[in-house]
Order: sequence, then structure tokens, then C-alpha cells
Amino acid sequence: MSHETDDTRRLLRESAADFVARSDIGAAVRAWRHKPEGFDAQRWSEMVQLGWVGLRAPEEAGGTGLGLEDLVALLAETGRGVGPEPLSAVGVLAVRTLAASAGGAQTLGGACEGGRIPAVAWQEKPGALSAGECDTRAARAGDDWILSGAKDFVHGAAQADVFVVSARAPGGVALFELRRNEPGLTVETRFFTDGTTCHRLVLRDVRVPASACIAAPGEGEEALDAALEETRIAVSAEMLGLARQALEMTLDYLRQRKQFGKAIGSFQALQHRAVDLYVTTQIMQSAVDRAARTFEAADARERALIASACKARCSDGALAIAKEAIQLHGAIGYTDEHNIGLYVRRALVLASWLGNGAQHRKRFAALSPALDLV
Amino acid sequence: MSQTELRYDYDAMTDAEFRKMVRDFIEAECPAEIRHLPRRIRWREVKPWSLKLSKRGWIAPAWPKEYGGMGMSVAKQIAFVEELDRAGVPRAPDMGIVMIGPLLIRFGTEEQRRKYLPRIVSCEDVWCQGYSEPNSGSDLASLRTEAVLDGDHWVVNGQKTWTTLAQDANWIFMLVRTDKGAKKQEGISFLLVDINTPGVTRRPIMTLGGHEEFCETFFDNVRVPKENIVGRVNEGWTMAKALLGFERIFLGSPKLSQVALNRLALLGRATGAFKDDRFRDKFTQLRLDVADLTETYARFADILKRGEQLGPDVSILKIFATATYQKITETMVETAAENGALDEAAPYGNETLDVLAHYWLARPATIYGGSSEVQKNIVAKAVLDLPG
Ligand SMILES: Cc1cc2nc3c(=O)[nH]c(=O)nc-3n(C[C@H](O)[C@H](O)[C@H](O)COP(=O)(O)OP(=O)(O)OC[C@H]3O[C@@H](n4cnc5c(N)ncnc54)[C@H](O)[C@@H]3O)c2cc1C
Repeated sequence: MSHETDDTRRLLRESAADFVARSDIGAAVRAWRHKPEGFDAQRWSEMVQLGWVGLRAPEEAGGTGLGLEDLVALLAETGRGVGPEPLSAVGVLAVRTLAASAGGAQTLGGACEGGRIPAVAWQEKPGALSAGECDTRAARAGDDWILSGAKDFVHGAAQADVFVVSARAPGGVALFELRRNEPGLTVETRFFTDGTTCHRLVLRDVRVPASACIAAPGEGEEALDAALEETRIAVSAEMLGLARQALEMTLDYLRQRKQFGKAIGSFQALQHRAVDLYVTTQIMQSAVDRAARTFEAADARERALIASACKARCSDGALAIAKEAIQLHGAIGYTDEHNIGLYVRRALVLASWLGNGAQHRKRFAALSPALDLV
Repeated sequence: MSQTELRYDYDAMTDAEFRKMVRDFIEAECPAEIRHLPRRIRWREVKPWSLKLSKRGWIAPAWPKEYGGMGMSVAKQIAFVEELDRAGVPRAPDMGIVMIGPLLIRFGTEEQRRKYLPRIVSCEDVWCQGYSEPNSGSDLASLRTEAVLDGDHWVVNGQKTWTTLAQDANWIFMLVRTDKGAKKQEGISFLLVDINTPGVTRRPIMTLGGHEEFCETFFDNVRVPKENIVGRVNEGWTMAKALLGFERIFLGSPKLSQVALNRLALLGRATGAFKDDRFRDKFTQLRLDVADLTETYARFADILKRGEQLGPDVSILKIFATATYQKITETMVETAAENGALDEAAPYGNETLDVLAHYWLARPATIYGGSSEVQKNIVAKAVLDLPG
């Protein structure tokens, strides 16, 4: 690693740590949860100004043009704040999808400078992992396209003004840009357990011009899959951040809380549990580092393996830490008032997003021929 | 009807007859909306059903007949609870029936029994349990809420917390410190307090499951009649401990795990997960865990049925029951994929399932009723005879 990249990452970490430290985590999350607006537009534009949203967009597209290792350095820090801003959903999934789409430049530029907020609507059923699992249809009507189908579990679309929607056309999966108020498009808002938005889109004969097709039939699938793999690593970095923070909060509690005349952290049974959790965060960090280092030079199949290994480790680790954090806090950890619950809820959401541990272990096993194992 | 029922000699019935009678009654009278709820039921929801049980004389299966109970053997009591569990009938949030009633029957004065027991049986009074305090959880004996005698009244000051459904109760039984000078277990008394006495305030607390399931309960110069002490002053700890054995077997019941396993099976069928070897293996492990849990529970229940006391090894039952329950609900979340990140029910076949509701309900099972860590400490010392 050169001094320059070293410095870039240190600065990213510092500004992210400062960003998280500047606000009261509990208040920042509680003010926006279960609200259709989703997050604070002010904070989002700060993230845009800091270059975080366009971090993974090339410079010529208006982005910062930094690498995946820089991205995970950033997200492992912002992840500690469990804020509702859609850094991974917009700044990674949407940005990378647009960057890989022939017609994505305009929206990508808008996203990087803050004028637009794109969200990707690709998933249809719980448990889906790849862009090819797509039943939404796109049919030609003269120069226009007509889209119909439904999408679900769309992350980070609270303030999205444009949806990038995948649809199967003759010739393969294509990507389309749809305005939020496109006639025929219904957008339903639900909430994940952490209070962030979960959108469902229903497309009833939505008619869009040829220019709305940003990745041609056949090209959309590859563009989207590549972005999904990278986002898995980004989300894993966020989980690393939240797991570390939840562990630190739990360690503080073990030091402060007294029962039987002693800090409960002095009981060896609990010390060993704390050490196990620390080991977990360290192993999560290795998984994220390894993925970020090797991903960009890998081919598509290897990328899937790298992303699965990382996402499986971090999903399971974050859930394990969340669960233990409740237990070690006792009854107060089961209240909605205590901040530790915010970490548990976020862990549940991020662990499931783009595939949980079991799904990714299964995919990893399916993609690795037995010979690879020896 | 209640008069004829009261004359029943339940112990003279065969187990099968008895179970059928209970089952028929549940099927006929217990509304489906309140069954198999993945949360603690509120008093207003369960009251109509409780009144039906009460009218039939079935509200307090474990109490002697003279106090309005069913006066039957432990074996029949266990069969009764098992039938309710099997049908997903909720346990009313009433600590009166399971805790304060038996305590008064054993340690109360005749006057106290006449005053309180009939009102529990008729569902006029709903009780909650005020033991835990902000600084006294696992180390309950360190509790500091104090009661000082002033003429004919105890004056209570302090705070209780995690008081389950205190907002639905009109009475609270509590442990209070009555002698600050004594060793910590020896200065504690057992006090009965009308929750509407001036100076008592309750603040409901929301759980991660999204329900206001417990309260902080504050006592500010609350004047309680002197005769509301149960047993002798400063002997509250021993009495409270005497009740714990029954609670532990209750908390070790396989019911919650069985219900969750059924839900997991529904999920496995509806999502096609049963076709996946990995899921089948996990499910089978959990299924066998539940089978052996059920057998373990029966083994401890048999001790009670023989009229013997449970030893400290009953702690292993709660440890295993709650660990199994949690594993099942974690597997539900895993199997539901993205639906496991939403606090709402999703459709599966003809049914719907809110997997997170089950996950949340399972979380505190390893905390309340003596945490798993505390149970393990007990087993290490009192059963395995390890030093320290
Ligand atoms: C859903 C729910 C309902 C409840 N309802 C009631 C109620 O109705 N009435 C009532 O009075 N109370 C109630 N409680 C309180 C319950 O009894 C306490 O939560 C319990 O005693 C644990 O105390 P604590 O929460 O203060 O945790 P703490 O005692 O502070 O424990 C924190 C952590 O330290 C661990 N720990 C503590 N001591 C040791 C040790 N010596 N060795 C190893 N580990 C240790 C614990 O296991 C836990 O993991 C309820 C709790 C819950 C969660």
C-alpha cells in the first residue's frame, strides 16, 4: 500500500468517525425511524459533499474514483453509527449499477453531486440472490418499452427520485430508469425492523421511451450482478462497524454494571464470552479485508465466491454479537429504549440484505468444485 | 355449572378422561384469536376467557378446593397445563394464580387467605410481581426499596422495574427491605400493595418486540396497612425462594419450543427449504432437541408427581429449554430471508407468519426467571460440587 492510499484511508476513517461522533446516535436514529422520509436530507447532502456517495464512481462521471478498500474503510466507520442514510444502497448498489450501465452516466453524475437519488429495484422474492431471478417483463411497443411486474425489499429508496428497475426482455435482463411518479408505477412503503424503509414496487404496463433503457437486454444482468457482489462486501463492512460498536457498548456495560458487589465483567464466565465476541469481530475484519483486497482483480465467478465468503462471515458474526449483546445487558438490553437494540435491529436487516449466512454458505459450496477445496 | 364442577373428583378420572374433558372445553370455549399468540397477552384480551375458566372452577388448578382450586394431584395439574399448552391457550398475565395464591396458602394468615384468594379466583384482582430493581437483578437480595413502620402503616419508598404488565394489575406483591442492618437476605419482607395507593406510579416500557410488556414501578411514601406483610417480618426471602421450584419447571416447559418448531416446519414447507439438505439437517437437530427436551421435562415433572421436591438440577431444564427455543427462532429468521427483517407477518401458503415476533419473544427467555448464566452457576456449585 502506498503512502498516498494509506493517507486517503486514514482521512476517510477520521472524517467518518468525526461524522458519527458529531451526532447523538440514539437520537439520530430514533428521529427518522418508521418515517417515510427515511433520513435527514441535510445529513445526506453532507455525505455527498464529503465525496462518500460518489466514492465508487469514476472521476469522469463526477465521482471520487476510489477503490473498494477505501470504501470498506469508510463503511466500517459509518457502520458504527447505524444511521439510516442509504450509503450502501445508493452510494454502492445504485452507483455501481449505473457505472456499469451504458446509459447510466447522467443519473450517476446527479447522484454524485447530490441532485438525484437513485435506488435499485431488482429483487422480487425473499431469498433471491442474482439478477437473473427476474420475472418482471419488458416488451417493445414501437420505440417505447412496456414494463410489468413487481419488485420488493428495495433498500434506501425513501427519498429516491429515480428507480433503476431490472426487467426481462427478449434477449435477456435489461435495466430501466423509472421516475418515482411514472404512470402505472405504484410505490408502497413498509419498514424494516430497524425503522428504515422497505419499498415494494408494482409496475402495471409502465410505458417508458427507449432512452429509459440504460442497459440493453443481456447487458443488464451482468452489470447488476457485479454491483450486487460489491454491495455485499460494502454491507459486510457496515456490519463489521456495527458489531465493533455493539461490542464496545457491551464491554462498557460489563465494566459499569455491578451485581453481587462487583462489576459483572469481573465474572470469568462473562469475560470468556466477551473474548469470543472480540474474536468474532477480528475474524469479520479479516473477511472484509480479504474480500476488499482480492475482489477487483477477480473474474465474475471468483467475485461471487469472495462476496459469499465475506457476507456469510459478517452476517453470522453481526447476528451472534447482537444476540449476546442483549443477553449480557440483561433485561435492559431487551428494551426499545436502550441503544443496544438499535444495533440488534440493524444487524437483522443487514444480515438478511442480499443474502444471509446460510444462503451464502450454500452458494459458496455450489460454486466451488470439490477440487478447489484441496 | 360451577357448583357441579366443584364436586368433581378429578383424581378419580383416568388421565384420558380428564384430558378429553379439558380439551373439549377449550375447543368449545377458548376463542381462536387469543390462541398461539407470539407475544404476552394483555389482561383485557384474555379476561373473557379467564372468566369462563373461573366460572367453571378451573382458574387455579394447583390450589386446594377449599380456596377455589381444583384440588387435584400434581399429575393432573401437569396434564391440565399440558392441554392448555397444546391448544396454544395463553397464560393469563396473572401472577396471583401462580405465585401469590400458593404463597398465601402456605404462609399467609387465615384472614389474608379469606381477603385475597376469592378475589383472585373471581378475576377481580390481577397481581404483578415486584421483585427486580434497577440495581438488583441477578443479585436480587441486594434490593433497596424499603418499608419503614409508622404507626399502623408501612411507608414504602423506592423503585421496582421490569414489572411484567404492572399496568394491567391492581395489586403488586413485592420484596422490600425492612432491616437495613441485617445480612442482605435477612432484612427482606414480603409485602402486598394495592397498586392504586397514592404514591405508586407506573411507567410502561417498550420491548424490542414492540410491546409495552413491563413497567418501571415507583414508590413515593406509599402507606401500606401493617397487616399486608405475609409471614413474619424479615422472612420474605425464604418464602420467595420456596416458590421458585415450581417456576423453574414452568419455565422449562417444551411448549414454546414446540410451537416455534411447528412454525419452522410451516416455513420449511412453504419456502421449499425442506428440499435443501442443509435445512433438513438443521430442522432434524432441532426436532430431536425438542423431543429430548420434552422427555427431560417429563422426568422432572415425574418427581413432582411423586410428591417429591425438585433439586437444584432442575436448572438444567430451563437452560436447555430456553437455548432450544432460541435456536429454533434463529433458524426461523434465517429461513425467512428478507421476511425475517420485517416486524410483520408474511404470507406462507394459506397461513401468515411473523418470524421476528417469535425471535423477539425468545430473546429474554434466557434472562428472566434466573438468567442462564445464573442457572449455570447454581448447577456448577450445587450439582457438580465445583469449588468457589
Ligand atoms: C421479559 C422480562 C420480564 C420480566 N418480568 C419481571 C417481573 O414481572 N417482575 C420482576 O420482579 N422482574 C421481572 N424481570 C426481571 C428479571 O428477573 C431480571 O431481568 C433478571 O433477574 C436479570 O437481572 P438484570 O436484568 O438486572 O440483569 P443483570 O443481573 O444485571 O445481568 C446482566 C448479565 O450479567 C449476567 N450475570 C449476572 N450475574 C452473574 C454471575 N454471577 N455470573 C455470571 N453472569 C452473571 C446475567 O446473566 C446477564 O447476562 C423480567 C425480565 C424480563 C427480561
